[in-house]
Amino acid sequence: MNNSLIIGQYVPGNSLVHKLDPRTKITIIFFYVITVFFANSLASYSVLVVFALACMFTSRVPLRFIMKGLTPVWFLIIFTFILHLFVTKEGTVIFDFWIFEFYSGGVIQGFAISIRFFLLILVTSLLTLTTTPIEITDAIEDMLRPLNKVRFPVHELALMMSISLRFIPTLMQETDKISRAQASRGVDFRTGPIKDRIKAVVPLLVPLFVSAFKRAEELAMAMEARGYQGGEGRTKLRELKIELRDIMVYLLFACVIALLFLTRNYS
Amino acid sequence: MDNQSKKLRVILNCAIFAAVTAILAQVEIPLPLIPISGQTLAVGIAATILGSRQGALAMVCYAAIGAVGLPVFSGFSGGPQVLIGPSGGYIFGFIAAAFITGLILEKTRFTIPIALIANIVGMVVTLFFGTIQLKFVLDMSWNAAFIAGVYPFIVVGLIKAYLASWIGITVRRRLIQAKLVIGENKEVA
Repeated sequence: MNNSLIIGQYVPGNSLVHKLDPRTKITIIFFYVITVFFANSLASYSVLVVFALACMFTSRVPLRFIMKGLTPVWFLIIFTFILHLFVTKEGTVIFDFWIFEFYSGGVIQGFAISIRFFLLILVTSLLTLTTTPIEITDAIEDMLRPLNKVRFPVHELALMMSISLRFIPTLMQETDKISRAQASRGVDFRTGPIKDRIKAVVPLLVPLFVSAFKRAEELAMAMEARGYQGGEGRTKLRELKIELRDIMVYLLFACVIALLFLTRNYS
Repeated sequence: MDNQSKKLRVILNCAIFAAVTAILAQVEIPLPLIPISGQTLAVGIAATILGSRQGALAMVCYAAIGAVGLPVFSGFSGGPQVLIGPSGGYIFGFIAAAFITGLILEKTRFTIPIALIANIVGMVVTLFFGTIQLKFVLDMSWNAAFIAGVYPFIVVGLIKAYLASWIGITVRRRLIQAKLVIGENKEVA
């Protein structure tokens, strides 16, 4: 638990997908997610599937990590498929069983939605599998910079995220410590009547929140003592840079989109 | 305290609250029949302690750290796929819910009965957002979306609203006593 909350789902690697600038990856995924909704024919879906699988194999992320990301949604994919099978009554009856009639339209729509879903999840999870949370935060800060003009606090949001990322493990240890300390004093929220169990949560949460707020205050003072003055003129430890490979990937992706719109069904 | 200094404290409070939400989302309070996940509980507590703007900001931060790939959503899920997935609407709903819950409390008083009402309103807001996204992502009918997205959560939601208002107000009073949060004028520490 500890580990996964610190590094997220990131799987270290040295592939092309790992080395791409995080901004490239985010941009491409953003447009991919939109274009998935435009696919409506067998050929256009195939284009998208091939692209997603190509990304997956280039990333060289072991299949079990990818499957792990998909586990929570398998149920939903199957559920949606079955739902469409029963609810959609279009096309011809292809199968008749007891009181149920399955229509070809239902099967096709069920398949289409399931594949759309699968693609969305596969591609977006590839981002988090090949990029560290800090890299993505940096990229988001950079990409949202134009919003500064409309007084959207981009730097502040990125700072907030980085601090949050940094404090999750610390606060997790704290939670553990508090629950042990209270257990040693006889607090028990696993047995007894419901009312007592709910009451037992309070001595866990109150010290957790108090210590969390204390940490925030200490950090604020430490930052001010070191001269923190907001985002203006701050330099960066990690600089992002667009390389030749990023441009190549953009071009490749443009071709994929063009191909998708060529193979789409316009009738 | 000058403006910059206040701003920094808002940033840090929200950041730390987002981290606490991330942790509580993984904790389950083992009640018989219905284990209560800390996720929505944390949303209610955040709004009750921090108020509307900071509460909502903390939830924005929570959604954002989830979006960059930390498994901070319930059941150790994370990444943008959760936000655009069928249950992502609930997470967007948290932001609105925290804002509205906090706003009701700020316009009235920070007491447990009012907090309970505010949290129930917040729950309705969360379910509203959640169901809309559920319907559109899965292409369901409204009826099916309600069966899958609203009815199963009502009873648990009411218990959580009660817990959130009670714990939230208790913690808020302690924090005001410890001078870590500035209370409203009419509020008795």
